[in-house]
Amino acid sequence: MLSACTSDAPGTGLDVQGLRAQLAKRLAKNRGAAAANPLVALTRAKLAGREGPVMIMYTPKKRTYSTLGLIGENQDVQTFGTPTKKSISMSGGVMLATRGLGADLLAADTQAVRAALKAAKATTYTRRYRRLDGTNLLVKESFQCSLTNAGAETIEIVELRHRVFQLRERCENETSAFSNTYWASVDNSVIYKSHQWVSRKVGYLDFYLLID
Amino acid sequence: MFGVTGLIDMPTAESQPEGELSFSSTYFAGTLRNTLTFQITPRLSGSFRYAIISNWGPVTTTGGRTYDRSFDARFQLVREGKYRPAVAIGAQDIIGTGIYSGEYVVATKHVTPAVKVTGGIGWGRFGSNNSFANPLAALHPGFATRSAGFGLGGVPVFGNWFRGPAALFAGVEWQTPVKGLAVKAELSSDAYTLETVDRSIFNRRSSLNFALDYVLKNGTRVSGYYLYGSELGLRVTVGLNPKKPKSGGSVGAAPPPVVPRPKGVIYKTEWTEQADVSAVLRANMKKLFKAEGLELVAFSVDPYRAEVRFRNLTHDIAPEAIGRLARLLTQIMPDSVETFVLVPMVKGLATVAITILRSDLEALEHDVDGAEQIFARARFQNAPAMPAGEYISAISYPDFTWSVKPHLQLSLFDPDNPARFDVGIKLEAKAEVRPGLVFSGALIKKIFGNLNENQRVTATALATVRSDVGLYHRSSNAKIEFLTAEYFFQPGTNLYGRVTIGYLEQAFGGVSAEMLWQPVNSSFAIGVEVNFAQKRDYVQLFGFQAYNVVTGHVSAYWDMGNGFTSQVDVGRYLAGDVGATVTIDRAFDNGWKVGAFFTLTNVPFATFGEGSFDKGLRFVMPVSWFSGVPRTETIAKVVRPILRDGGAKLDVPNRLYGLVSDYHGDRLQRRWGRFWR
Repeated sequence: MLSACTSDAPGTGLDVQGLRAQLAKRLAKNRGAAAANPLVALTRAKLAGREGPVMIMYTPKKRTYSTLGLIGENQDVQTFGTPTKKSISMSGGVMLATRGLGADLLAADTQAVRAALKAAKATTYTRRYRRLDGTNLLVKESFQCSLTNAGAETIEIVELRHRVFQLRERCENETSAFSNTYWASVDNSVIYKSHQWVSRKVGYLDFYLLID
Repeated sequence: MFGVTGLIDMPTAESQPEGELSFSSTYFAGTLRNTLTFQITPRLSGSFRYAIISNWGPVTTTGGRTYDRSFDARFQLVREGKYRPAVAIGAQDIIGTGIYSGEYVVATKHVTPAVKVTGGIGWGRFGSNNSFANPLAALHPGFATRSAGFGLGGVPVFGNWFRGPAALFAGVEWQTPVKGLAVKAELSSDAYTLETVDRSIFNRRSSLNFALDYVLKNGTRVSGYYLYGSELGLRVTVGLNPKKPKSGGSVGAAPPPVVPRPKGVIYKTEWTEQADVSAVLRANMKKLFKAEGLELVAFSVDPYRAEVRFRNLTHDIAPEAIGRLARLLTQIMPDSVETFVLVPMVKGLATVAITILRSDLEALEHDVDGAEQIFARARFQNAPAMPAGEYISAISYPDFTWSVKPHLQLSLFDPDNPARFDVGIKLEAKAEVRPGLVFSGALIKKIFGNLNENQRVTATALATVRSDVGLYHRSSNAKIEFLTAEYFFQPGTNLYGRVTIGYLEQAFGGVSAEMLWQPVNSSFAIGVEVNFAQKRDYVQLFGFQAYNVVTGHVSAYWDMGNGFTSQVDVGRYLAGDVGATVTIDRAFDNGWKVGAFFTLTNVPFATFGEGSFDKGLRFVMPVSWFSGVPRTETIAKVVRPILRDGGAKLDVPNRLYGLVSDYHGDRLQRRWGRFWR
């Protein structure tokens, strides 16, 4: 394939960057190998000295792992970035926005969920989601959600054991439904592990909190 | 097989999802039909067909083939309900030579989830087999007969619609349990008189047609046919929908987070007294802007307000560039600066001045309705040509850029060869000498291709302004695609101006002057353009031919808001003819546009020649749509069934409406969801 030469990089020439990205994606798909789970190889010693919060994100649909580091904080919302320039915004461990995944979650409200998670008992509430459709128009969705406490359990993330409640959230509206799961600590409601839905095309994301 | 949603040769009452653009190629009995169909609205669809029919005429002329171009339209009157069938009305080959013309009313119903039944009544081609007297003749005797003549073609013969004998057609489609496979059978009312009675293109032994239809995983559809008891046929259909990009959205880099200021403190302003404050701010902005695909042009700063003039280099949607800039300013600007005024610049023109408060950015970054809220609180005003107060420029003039790219030139629908192309290399250079004053040019060199095969000399009663396009591809020397000096300026509030001198396009050089009036919040704009054009030599170097003409237009542009934009130009065209052009585009807010245009002038249809008047389709495809990676480039293509000399407009680069309209009217608001992206 011919590639273009330019005096300044952005905005000129063939869309070589975009085509390369597509080609890489296709090759990776064909190789079919699932990326190795970094949680298996990690030890607390390797993480010593690192300042938190640090998370690992797993995308079940693509079978890929990414590290998430804090890149921004505004009021009670933390924004985490991946090395490949994707970002996830969370409030108290509840995801409210993604960027760079394609069919992103533009915005969502989290107050009701967070209050329910803190109470750690059966509750129902409404959640609002915002996304952009293929023509950049805002799509507003509202879901009826119910949270249930599946009980206490102990989970282990990189040699640290946490006593958590497994809280299941089921949300539905006329067109779609999804189920999120949060493993929140029994005493201070830190979410150590979660399984959260983004969109039909992206699917779910799993988060593991390595360092608080 | 006519390339529209249907059974085999007969149509059905179904429609595609809105926005669906599909291209199908059907081959049977020496006939190749290529059809492009677009679902304009949920109920209205249009098609453009290019058919190559072999054994049509004596072998001595064009090898015995005829090349037919036609347009169709279909409107779904009623959608399918529980007991109610879908009903549609359509007309085929509306504006053409009439080989395929016909009209129909058709109904389709699912009798089980897997089986669909269709029945309809047709006229013209669809009313030619087992026909009976037109039932509409009961309304008016004029419906009884249909005239045969089509003259030069290119003009809709309304007087023929739904007239003449009628016939019934029917069909059934069964979705088999095999995923993607369907079986179809139909009773065709098309007697193929022109092909089987007037000529012997094939043998029509029966009215029954059968098909096997298979949809591949990527959406491509392949169909095999057994037709009229004697022929086999094959069809391949590919499609895309501008509303559904493969990536699902932008996969570009995530935006920089807003950096909030500490709360409950008084923000100091001593930083303004620092000696090198301008240099420091400029250096920081230049560095951070580049990483976000933006370029700093100029800025002015006081203790509480910063005005930043910038260029968007990579973001396909304007609000995203504006949002990125706003985020960066929360990172760069000292805490006391509360008001941000953002001015996107295009070719030295200040398009709009957007005022946003830093406190609003901090408060709304993660608000669930953040996009709408920030739009409501922002102010959009006309931007003056120069920033208020003292400003610091960040571009060192002359600003020189160049590129070398592969170059493709296509020529479609020539009667001798439906598709020709040249591949070569293009060297382009641009120097902005002062704000708004640009010198640019491009040199193309063909490497290989067959555009020079176009040897035809078209007989024309008008001045030869476009029909000699083939002669511009004869020689294979390096050619000057364009070489111009352009000046962009803002003569007043809501006014933009342009003057271009030089070699403007492939066939003409000269002087072009344009003025556009579009207030910031208006979806309506008016422009005036006057050109002096001189015909260029066929070798496309520095020489000119003798022909010259003064052309000009008054143009009205209207972004209608419901997914349609329109443009009307009234004036004088290259051959000296006077008239008007109407263009209507189905425009999507990701940059996609599918449109149609026609031009009527004081040139009589007979003088214009085949086609009667200039018309065509135009497509704009944003490059970013294909990969999801943000880019500003678009691919624009104009398709004309016939290229003649009437109604020809000068092809001047960088016309003003295309430069500034994305920052005006409702367009910015509709796409504002991308602000926080």
